[in-house]
Amino acid sequence: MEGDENLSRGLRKREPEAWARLYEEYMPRIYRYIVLRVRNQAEAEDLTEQVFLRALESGPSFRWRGAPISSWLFRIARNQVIDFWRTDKTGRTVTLDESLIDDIANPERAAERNEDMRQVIREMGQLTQAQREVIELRFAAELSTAEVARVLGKSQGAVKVMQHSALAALRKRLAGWSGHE
Amino acid sequence: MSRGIEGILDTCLERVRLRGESIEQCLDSYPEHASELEPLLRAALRVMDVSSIRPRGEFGRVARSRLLSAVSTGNVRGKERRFPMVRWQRGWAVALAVILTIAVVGGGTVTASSGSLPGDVLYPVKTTAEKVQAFFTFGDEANARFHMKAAERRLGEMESLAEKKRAIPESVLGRMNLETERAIEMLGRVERVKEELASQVVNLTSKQKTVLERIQQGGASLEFEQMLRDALQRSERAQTELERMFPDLKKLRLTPWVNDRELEP
Repeated sequence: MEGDENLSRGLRKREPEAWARLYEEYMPRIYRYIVLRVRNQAEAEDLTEQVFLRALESGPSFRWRGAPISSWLFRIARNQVIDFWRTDKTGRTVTLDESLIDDIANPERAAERNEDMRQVIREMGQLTQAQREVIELRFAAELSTAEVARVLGKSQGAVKVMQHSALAALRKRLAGWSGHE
Repeated sequence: MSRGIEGILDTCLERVRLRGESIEQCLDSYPEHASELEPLLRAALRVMDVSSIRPRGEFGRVARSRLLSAVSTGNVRGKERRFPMVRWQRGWAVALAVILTIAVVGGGTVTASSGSLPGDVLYPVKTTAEKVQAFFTFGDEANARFHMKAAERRLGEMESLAEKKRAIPESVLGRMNLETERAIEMLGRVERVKEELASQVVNLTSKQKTVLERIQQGGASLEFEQMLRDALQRSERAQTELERMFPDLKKLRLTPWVNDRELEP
């Protein structure tokens, strides 16, 4: 928390070191959250970059009031994604075609993991919107329950309940899938 | 009790995720909940694998440099989107391209494409013509009708492909669900939905269920079976949404199913 307070001071003063730190710490997690939501690498890269530029725009007015910086940043990311889908008229299909992970040393293993992950992502798509969002924020963005609660404007108890029901639903679906293999 | 397990699950997830503990270590702490916790934690472990998704290194470097440059110069709006053509411009571009295509190949080709199926040479002409039609469709009710008809067409295409024992592409399944969901979304914006329109959308979702189940019974690969199940679930969710929107649904007089050809513009 103290780290967040110092960082937020640097962000407000537009110190390059503070912004570099913010970027290093959060960019991969923001990207993961977004790519799972928009299912397209190029769009996810664009939106991720926009999140940091939006943060920079609102940086001078950002006041640290005890809430983690992650909540602020992921709220921006969430709004970016909502805007993206709201304005999207292309009717794109939501299939994540790109390779999710690369492993040059072991391409076969990478292919297996990609397939497994794609299956998990597909099953996540069958959850309710609220369950899916909790799972994405908890496991892709790696936020704590308290941080997820702040991003979504819900209580921690509600987040835990949704996490539990989402994992129970995923367990059934993933077990069903393994049974077919 | 129920709240208890949710809290314990969360604690275990944090111990596994942050402290690197094994599932067994956590289960040992809660032996009375072990049987319920274990499958949930194992599912969570599979989901946690998404944290290995990484952005491209090149993107990371370029975006970082652009951000720091914006920090120094204060020029936040300097970055152009990768696709600078905004969506409505892209729409106009598609419309223009189709009008030019029609001018070159003739309107007859577009008409001839109306019976084409995915995989046919003329199918892209059919879908592009639909995009143009979508572009020039204004108003929530008209859009609801348009998306409903598009969903019906995709369903009709699936039926025809199944009859001809041809493969049904995943994109057609997804498109059918998407068009249905859009039709419902548009209906939600219409102040007073006409009974005839509501009943047509209701008919559509129940017809989808029938057709998808029939295709399922016809036998399919495991992966396609899974896709069919997903599509069926989306259809069922759409039906539930309709029931929520129109609680008097059962009172509506359901119109008979209209086949694909009758719905062609």
